[in-house]
Amino acid sequence: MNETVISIKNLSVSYGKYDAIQNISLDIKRGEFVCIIGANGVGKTTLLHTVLGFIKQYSGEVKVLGKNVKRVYKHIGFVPQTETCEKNFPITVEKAVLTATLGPKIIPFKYFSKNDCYKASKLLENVGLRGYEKRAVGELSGGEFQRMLIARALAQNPEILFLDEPTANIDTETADKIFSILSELNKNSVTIVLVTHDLGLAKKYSTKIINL
Amino acid sequence: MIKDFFQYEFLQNAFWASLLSAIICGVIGVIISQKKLFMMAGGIAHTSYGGVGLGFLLGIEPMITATAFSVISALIIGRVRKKGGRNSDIIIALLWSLGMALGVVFTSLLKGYPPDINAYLFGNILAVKKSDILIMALFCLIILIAFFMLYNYIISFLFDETFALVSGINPVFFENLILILIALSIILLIRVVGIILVMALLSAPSATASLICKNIKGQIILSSVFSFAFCLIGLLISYNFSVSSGAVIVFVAVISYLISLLLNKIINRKNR
Ligand SMILES: Nc1ncnc2c1ncn2[C@@H]1O[C@H](COP(=O)(O)OP(=O)(O)OP(=O)(O)O)[C@@H](O)[C@H]1O
Ligand SMILES: [Mg+2]
Repeated sequence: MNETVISIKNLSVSYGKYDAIQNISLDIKRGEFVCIIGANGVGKTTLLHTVLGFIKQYSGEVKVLGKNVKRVYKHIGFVPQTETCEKNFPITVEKAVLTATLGPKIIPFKYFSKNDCYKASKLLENVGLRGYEKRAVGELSGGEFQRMLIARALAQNPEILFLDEPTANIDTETADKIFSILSELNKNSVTIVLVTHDLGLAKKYSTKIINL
Repeated sequence: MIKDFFQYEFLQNAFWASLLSAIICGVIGVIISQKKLFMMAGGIAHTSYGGVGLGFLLGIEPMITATAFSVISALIIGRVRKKGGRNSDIIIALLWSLGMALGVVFTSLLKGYPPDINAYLFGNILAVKKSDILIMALFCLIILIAFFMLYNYIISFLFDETFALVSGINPVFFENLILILIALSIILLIRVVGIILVMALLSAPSATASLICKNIKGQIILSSVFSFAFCLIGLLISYNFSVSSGAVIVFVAVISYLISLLLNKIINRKNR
């Protein structure tokens, strides 16, 4: 239970001359529910993106499951800030969730089966989106969209789940619901690393708070 | 007209050219309008004019050199778009003009009787030859096979590039694939509507479709149907009144889009 799943040693990241992160070291252990908090611009998103391998220029060492993150993508789930998606893209909620089950191997003429769709429905139900399967993603409210992104991340069957401000723009009740869903997952041994500005929820649900 | 159709090969060629163009406008047009790649597609189209000129100068089939130019410019534009957000518009604008300029220089170096440049700039569906149809069919086949073989991966990439990366899909591969498909479709459309008018056919049908239908398969089918209708109407009018077919097709496409926009507004207001 004490295996280190993410290890960061002396990490510094800079954008040009500007240092976004200076010399951070931290370990995250399997089964933890870690909330990263801190003021705007302290480098929370930068930290997450470096761990996920989106930012390639940094100094120090970052290991996920003991390896370079690129080699363990299939064990990782990610809920980005909504801005990275094409919010009005004409696909159904079900399809958006199922995109998580593609890759890394490319299978020509891969189409989704009934069974896949059934799994997607189950995941959507878990995040309170029962019956939303055939709706277009563009029709969802901000909070519904966010929950769909969580269902999509769950479809990856992750060992470690990263979330970047999953409850920004979400009402307190729904935010609490999302945290309790995550807490439930965490009890089923999914390690959770979450960036948030909501200190209350972080205190209520997380097992560890990192203040950047 | 029907009798003429069976009598004249050029009308049959025009028909097949319309059909092939329509299919591609469905598939690629939807990608372009969903990802708002209009500037980019315009840049690729105009850069290919340099290829047309080079082809004439070297005595090679201009469509071949145009293909090379459009694919290379697509890859350059894609790279630039990724790297520098603000600079990408400048690079596109420069490639756009540079391509046209090269085309002008190359054709002015030609000795003897000037080739029919207008057919490339404004398209001439009535002048499409059997050999053009073969090239168009080949490109259409390549685009369709690539698109449907990787359909779900492409959709996933288009919906959320960042996430695609984490799910293990190689975003560089898909980005380049989509750019190449766009470049090939532009070449396919040049014989029908020409370099300057190609943007209308890549945007109006898919934009009209997106007003009506909210799922991607429906949009692809609808936009193909619209493009086919626009091309046929253009063909009909230009055959009977001997106006430039490319221009007529663009007129029809733009007017149809405006009308559907208006109808859409009215219906939305009623529903409120
Ligand atoms: N692409 C970039 N180029 C230059 N500077 C950047 C870039 N992205 C972020 N920064 C800077 O790096 C710092 C850290 O940014 P980051 O996005 O990691 O902050 P954050 O902690 O996530 O803030 P927030 O709470 O607002 O989301 C900020 O000061 C920001 O201005
Ligand atoms: Mg942030």
